[in-house]
Amino acid sequence: MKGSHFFLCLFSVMCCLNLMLANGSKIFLFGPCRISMSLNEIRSGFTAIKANIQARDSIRTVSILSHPHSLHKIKSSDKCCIIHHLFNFYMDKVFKYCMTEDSYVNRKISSIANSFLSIKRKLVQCHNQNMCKCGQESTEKFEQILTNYEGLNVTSAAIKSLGELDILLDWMEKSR
Amino acid sequence: MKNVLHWSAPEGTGDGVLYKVKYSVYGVGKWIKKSECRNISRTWCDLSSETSDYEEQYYASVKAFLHGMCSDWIETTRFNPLTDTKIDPPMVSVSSTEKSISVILTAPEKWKRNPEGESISLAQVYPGLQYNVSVLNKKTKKRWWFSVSNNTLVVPWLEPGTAYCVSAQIHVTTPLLNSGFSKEYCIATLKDKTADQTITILFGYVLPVILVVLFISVACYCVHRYIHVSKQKHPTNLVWHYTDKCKERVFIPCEKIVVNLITINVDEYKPSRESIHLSEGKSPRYYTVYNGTEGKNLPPKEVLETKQLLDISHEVDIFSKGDQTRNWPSYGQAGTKNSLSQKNEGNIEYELDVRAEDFSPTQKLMELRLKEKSSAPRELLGEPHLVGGLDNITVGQPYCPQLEVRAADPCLGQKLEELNLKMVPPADTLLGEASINLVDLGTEKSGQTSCPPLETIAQSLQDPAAKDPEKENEQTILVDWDPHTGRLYIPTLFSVENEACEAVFQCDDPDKEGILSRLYEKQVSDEASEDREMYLLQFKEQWELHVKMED
Repeated sequence: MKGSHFFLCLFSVMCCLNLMLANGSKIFLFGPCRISMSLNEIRSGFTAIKANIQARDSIRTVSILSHPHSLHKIKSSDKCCIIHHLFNFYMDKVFKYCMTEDSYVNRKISSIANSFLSIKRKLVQCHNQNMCKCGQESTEKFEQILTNYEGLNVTSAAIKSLGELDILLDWMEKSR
Repeated sequence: MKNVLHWSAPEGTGDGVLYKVKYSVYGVGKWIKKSECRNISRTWCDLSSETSDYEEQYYASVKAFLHGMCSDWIETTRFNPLTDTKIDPPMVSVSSTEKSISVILTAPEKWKRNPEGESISLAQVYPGLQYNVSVLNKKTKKRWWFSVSNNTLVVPWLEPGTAYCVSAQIHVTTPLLNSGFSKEYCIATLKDKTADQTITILFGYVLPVILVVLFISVACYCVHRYIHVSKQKHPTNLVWHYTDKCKERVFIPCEKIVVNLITINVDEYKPSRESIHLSEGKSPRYYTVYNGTEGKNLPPKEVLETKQLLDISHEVDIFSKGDQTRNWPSYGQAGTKNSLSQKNEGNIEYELDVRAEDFSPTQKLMELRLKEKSSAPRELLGEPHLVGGLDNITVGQPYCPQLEVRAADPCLGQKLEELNLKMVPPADTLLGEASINLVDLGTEKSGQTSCPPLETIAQSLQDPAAKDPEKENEQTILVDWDPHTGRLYIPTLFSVENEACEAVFQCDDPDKEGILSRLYEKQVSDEASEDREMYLLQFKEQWELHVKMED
């Protein structure tokens, strides 16, 4: 019976741990930059509007993030730089222009934007400490992204970028 | 990742619908026809190899043909293999020990294009892959959940010999993916031999030892308690109270002793045996009486001596036991006989209800009492003196009440008890009667000078020499008397003392101590020496005693 008590205890502890992990606080390594953050909120928010947003993007031939050079190909040392640029990119050029007629979608976009903002502050810390040195590859990659973005009109480019958010998230997940 | 495109057949169409499938990679925008899925009638197409790069996202499109007519291309939504893939449950293998089970979990592998290809585990695809493991105790139906990141789980502290069922699922936090649960794998923990051994030792060895120790200790405690703790009580009849009641230090038993007795019918001429018994108790008193009668005829000086003798005799009485008491009846009878025969005393009834409290039964007290008594007769002696010339009758009378008094006297209780206990054998009574006769004779013949030496007998035993210088040559006389045959053998009787003495009687002056020891009495028979033969004869006749005389 002591054993069962012990396991009840263990189970509850694990549940708590699980909840805590689910709510946030995983450590991501973007090169030298070490950030504790949670992508769950962003992920769940995006999952809710993913189909809606992606349906608005009718352009199959262009990808902002993954083509012609996939994010996954970036070296880990450049990750810090590129993620910092990407968050700035999303804050400055995506969420602002993702206004839809669906208020639910708008709210979700807003909440995702807030989560981005909080993560961005942590990334700024790394950047201010000069930990994120941008190599040539990362610079080129980001310029490519901007080129893709600017190839479209602002709204469709913003929606496309928002629809590719799962690409960004999947890539970030691999950085753990 | 096995990505299969499924679609549903258009409504209202029967068989014969053919489909063709094309796909494109997001961002590239170039549609690629899937050759294997061209003009197929089935409603699914396996695009696993085409979508094997999970870092890309894909579109697929299907077109239906029926009788030369075709539908539009129907596109799927953007397909992300990472988030849109259904994950199979993990492989579970379990092994068990006595108290734990270990679970080894294996994530499914990524779909391979060909069997020879390098296998990639889902754990590599999903870095945040975890396993949720449930362990069900079959006995208690309790279920525990574990969430582990690595693929081995050891569940410790389980009950031995119990079946547990393990099931697991894959949980991916981001993207939030959950596989279904694997089927349950049940395993029983091994039976715990140490537990059995423990039980065996506990119940086989430890418990009995403890019980035995407990039993012994309890027994020891009881014994100890019995010996040391509990108050021991003397039997109540051994508890004596100290009292000064009888002017001396006296110990009185607590227990009440009730002696109910004694009805004595003393017939005038037929002193019954009961009277003898009774008179046993009084025998010492009769001594005094007798001595009194003697003293009366003697000079005062001699009276004093007799008093002393009396004292002695009483002491002797006290010390005397068994044999001596056996003699008393004879004395008593003699005394009673004397008094009764002359006085024709009727019945003497003594009813004694003696209580132990009232007793002062110690021997010392007895002595005291006896001494007092002996002094009492002394006083009484005065009366007889005044009367003068009184024979035994007069003497006897005053003493009768005294006897009663004494009988009532608690101090004598012990004596009475003794007396009651003793049965006088017939031979004794016979002897007694014989002595009585002799006494009668003696008194008649010797008159006043006759010595009633019945009492003096005992004195001689105790300190004959101190009292009488004349008795220097006296010896201890051994008397051999067989109660069965009734023979009394007195070997040295005659050589020591006057020849006149018969076997039973020996004469002496009253103040002289008799040589006679316990068993026989002295009798004054100086003058009666010539009658000796006759007495003997009479003795023989009456009592059928065989008297052998040795010169």
